Amino acid sequence: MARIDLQPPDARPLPGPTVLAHEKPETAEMRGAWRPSGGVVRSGIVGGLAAACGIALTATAGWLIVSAAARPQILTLMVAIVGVRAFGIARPGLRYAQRIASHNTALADLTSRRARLFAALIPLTPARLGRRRRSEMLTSIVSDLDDEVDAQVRVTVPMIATGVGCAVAAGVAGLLLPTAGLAIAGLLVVVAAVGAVDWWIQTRAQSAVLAGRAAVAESALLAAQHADELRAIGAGPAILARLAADHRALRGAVRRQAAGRAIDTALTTVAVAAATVAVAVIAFAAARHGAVTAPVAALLVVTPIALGEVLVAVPDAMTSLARSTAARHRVRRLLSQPPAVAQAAVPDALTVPGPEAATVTTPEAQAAAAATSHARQPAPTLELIDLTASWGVPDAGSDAHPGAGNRPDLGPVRLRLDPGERVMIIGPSGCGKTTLLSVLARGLDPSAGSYTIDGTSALDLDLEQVRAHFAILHDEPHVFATSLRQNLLLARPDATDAHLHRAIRDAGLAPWFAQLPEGLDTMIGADHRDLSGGERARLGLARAVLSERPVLLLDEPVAHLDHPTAIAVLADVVAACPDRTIVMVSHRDDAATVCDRVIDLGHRP
Amino acid sequence: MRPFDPRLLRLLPQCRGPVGLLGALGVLGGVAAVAQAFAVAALVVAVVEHASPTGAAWALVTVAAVRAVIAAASEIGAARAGVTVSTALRERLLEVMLSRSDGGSARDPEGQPATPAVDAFTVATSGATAVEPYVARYLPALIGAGVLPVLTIGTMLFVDWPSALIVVLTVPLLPVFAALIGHATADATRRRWAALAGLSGQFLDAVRGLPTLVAYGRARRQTGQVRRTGDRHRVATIATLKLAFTSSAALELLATISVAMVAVAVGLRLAAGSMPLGTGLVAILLAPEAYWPIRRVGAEFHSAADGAAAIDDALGLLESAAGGAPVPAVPALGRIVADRLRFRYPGAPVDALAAITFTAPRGLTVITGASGSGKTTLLTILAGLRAPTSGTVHAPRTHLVTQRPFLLPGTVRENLLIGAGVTAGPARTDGELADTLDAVGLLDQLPAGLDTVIGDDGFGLSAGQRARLGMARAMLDDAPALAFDEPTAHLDGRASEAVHAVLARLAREHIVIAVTHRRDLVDIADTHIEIGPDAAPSEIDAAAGDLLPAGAR
Repeated sequence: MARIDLQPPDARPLPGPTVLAHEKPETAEMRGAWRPSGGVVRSGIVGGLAAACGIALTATAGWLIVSAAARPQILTLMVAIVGVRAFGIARPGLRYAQRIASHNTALADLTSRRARLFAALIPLTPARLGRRRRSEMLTSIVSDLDDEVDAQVRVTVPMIATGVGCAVAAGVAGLLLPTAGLAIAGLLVVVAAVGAVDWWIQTRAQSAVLAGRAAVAESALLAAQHADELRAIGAGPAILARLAADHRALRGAVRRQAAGRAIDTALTTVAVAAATVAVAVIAFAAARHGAVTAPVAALLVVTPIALGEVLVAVPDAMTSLARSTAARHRVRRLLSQPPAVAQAAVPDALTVPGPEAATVTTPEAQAAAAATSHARQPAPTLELIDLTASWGVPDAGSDAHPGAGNRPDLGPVRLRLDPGERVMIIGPSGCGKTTLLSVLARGLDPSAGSYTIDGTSALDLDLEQVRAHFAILHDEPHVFATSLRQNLLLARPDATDAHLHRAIRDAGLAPWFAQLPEGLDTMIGADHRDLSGGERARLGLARAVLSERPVLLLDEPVAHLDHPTAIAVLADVVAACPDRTIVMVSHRDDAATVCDRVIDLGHRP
Repeated sequence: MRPFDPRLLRLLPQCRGPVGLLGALGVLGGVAAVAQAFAVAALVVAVVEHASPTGAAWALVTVAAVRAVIAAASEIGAARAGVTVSTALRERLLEVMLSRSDGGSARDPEGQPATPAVDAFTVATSGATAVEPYVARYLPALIGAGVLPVLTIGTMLFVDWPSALIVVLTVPLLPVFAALIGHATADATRRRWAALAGLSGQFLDAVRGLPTLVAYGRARRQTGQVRRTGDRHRVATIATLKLAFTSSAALELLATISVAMVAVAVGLRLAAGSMPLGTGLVAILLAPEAYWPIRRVGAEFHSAADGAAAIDDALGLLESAAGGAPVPAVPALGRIVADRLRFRYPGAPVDALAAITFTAPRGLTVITGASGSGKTTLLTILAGLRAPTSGTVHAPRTHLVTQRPFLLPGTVRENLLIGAGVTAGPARTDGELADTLDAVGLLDQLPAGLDTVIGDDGFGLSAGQRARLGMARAMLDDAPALAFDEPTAHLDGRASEAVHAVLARLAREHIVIAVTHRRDLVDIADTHIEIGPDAAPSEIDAAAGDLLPAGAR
């Protein structure tokens, strides 16, 4: 019998760099590869037994062969034969148990972390998610969380397993011949140090690789999405040159990252050979003096080789560690922001509970209360007096964005919106049009000035109740991967099909709707029927109309539409909302025809 | 899935070097692994037989040093090959998309994604990245599985043929067993992966929709749903993994038993004294090398499946592009000549553009017609973006300014400089760029002039500013023909007049074609073509009387 396996497919590296100890204590939210849970440790120990079985298999086989060559009584070999069989059968079984247990633990952890991430993102939405490309940002945070949790399976469990397996091997070797045990322990120290260097190189390269991939993705998307437009102006060569430059940068970063793995693999290979030679020299001397028998000497010599087969997976674990560390920092950076809106402490017992009180207990009741208490109510009078607002995170920009807080993104602005008014907001880029809508909808707190709703300061009212006044159409309305009906009903859960059809018509979606195979039950969104930018915007418009919320805040509602369609859609929306206040941001002169008043934010008072 | 597609090397020559290097390193690594078995066996024999281990030790250190170099080169080579193939694939695909005139971008003019057999768009953007693990991990595993067992068995034949025989008989069991297990669980696995993809997609969908959920007060309601979906996801994943891990444990056990058979045979002969210790050790150290590479291929299979599918799609697209007839070189006419030009979208019941014949010489040609009569379609054909369904068109290179001209996220300067003639021609000074912006009346409106930053998709510019920026870019291009789709649709009266004046000026040196609704532009045109909604084109000579009779060319 002999060793079985050179390179197990799942990584089982050394308990890695000593840097681990320098990590500061963190909350449960942040425990990743560094602070494993009980389940992860147990999986790691089971994996360690599997690793030890693998090493023992090779070592015992070496003993057995050399013993056999001495042609002893067959009975003396029996113990070793039984041992080899036991190790050979136990290893796949233990490894199976370890893999199932570690994945189960990690997935349970992922579930609760996802729920916590989701809950933690709610108060940061929308203002702290960045001003543009929120859905890309949210996509990347989901994959960051996956990477972070993944480290338990790909880093922590393998590191514990390797540590346990190698410690057992070094211990047993030490019992047989103390100096050989020391030599093997020395190998482990060297491999740990090499792993640390690998981790350091890969972590440093990681950000360049990520930046490179992001740049490539952006250029590729730009070229693929706008291929016709680029060809129309003959810009193909220019965009391809840009892509080629991004590709060159990416290739360089990937090569630099691979250098960490290369150094690790190469030095570990040399270290294993050096340890084998060292143990051979020690065992040679010991065998000559009769301190160990020949079979034991053989066992000791092949042990470092067996260890080497376990240690080859260190680079994979270091790659995962570098990735998960970067991911963990991004998740933490996002979640550590203060919410963009303060929740008023509302003493009134009848008001809806705020975010702290309501976790998952009464969401339906809350949504229903919010939906019925404000929808179909008369529009309130909204008044802004000398109001300014900024997107910057207070106190966070002290060194990162010096002077970011000096100039507000909006205002000071003075504005009164009477019930039922249709107001159009224009002004050059950066004058605060979108910011204004966010402040009105309580997506962002004003930094100065006052905002009153029917004479009461909006900041003193319950946040959910204030928000229920507004239907806001932002620049990226999301299409959920479900039926068209469910996509609309979220704006008004009690709407009938007749309401839905009407909203679809008012938003100018009737021609699109007519060609849907299953009407309201047609599945749309990811994995299903894709919607163009214009259709998404109109779906958002349909939600806003359907919600019957008394104030509509529309950010560039018809930017994707051609001129006559845009006018028709706006006219329908205005006709469908006779008593509601409509605030519309637009570049288009056309929208002015349906509005009572045009406010130019570019001309500050 | 095909293990390796040789079309890759044919269609992407720049991949030959890295992939070839990977293969060579795989062979060298196999040879070094065999050499190490000999060195270790010699070392053990020396220690056991109280001979000096110095020679064997040096041999082992030398072999290890060589292995270290090969291993390091393989790590870098694999990463390099992965990224080289993925970037080359992406570049070629986009090059094809940017040069084909048959709607390679798979978008029709209303921005609706069409439904081609394989979506070049997806492959070029996300698919190419999935190719990296395929090349960097699966391919080396595949090479190892092809090289190591053969080398091992070959060596064993010389060293100890009975052991070689056992290995030859048992190694094929591994792929056979893997295939049997795979076949027996294929349905369950496929079903589970599909369910998994759906479940993991739900969380992403909910998170991406957070701004919408929060806006309608529905976010907290979803938190419980996230937890429930997560639990279902965990249960489904574990069920899938149990299948996968059971099969890999079974293969591991099979390999263990096979090596044990070699060991038993060796042990019996050693005990009988019919075999030297060194030979037995070499046989036993070599035997596992025949089995693990095959198991590793199985382990890397899943992570590589996406990449293999992406390569297959991409190569199909590239091959069909390479097979298509090359676009014939356009004779450099000083005018645009269209003869019975007709266009119909695939599958559409009626023509988007009814047969039209005309000649546009140097000067201003204005095209009018009712909505839906195919004016925009005509311009895209003239600019070479679409091939006509029937009829011919001869046009020099035409720069087309669409209704919503493409804008790059970046500065105004960058946007002015991406046109074809500008990238190829002499460098333009900021003064020239500013003068051009001034000519279309845009310079005063840009707060930071040429350094004004434009967001994604022209964010920050009004539609009118956008149209004028597109026009300024066209003026900087040295294309002989310039086409404008509704250049003044978003402009008020005064700005329109300025743009009309610019068009008239450009028409002195270029073939200028403009689609418009404005009467005042028609009035200053040299040629006026009216496209009717009916099949019969009606052509009205507005000014110069240089209209070409139908078919007379």
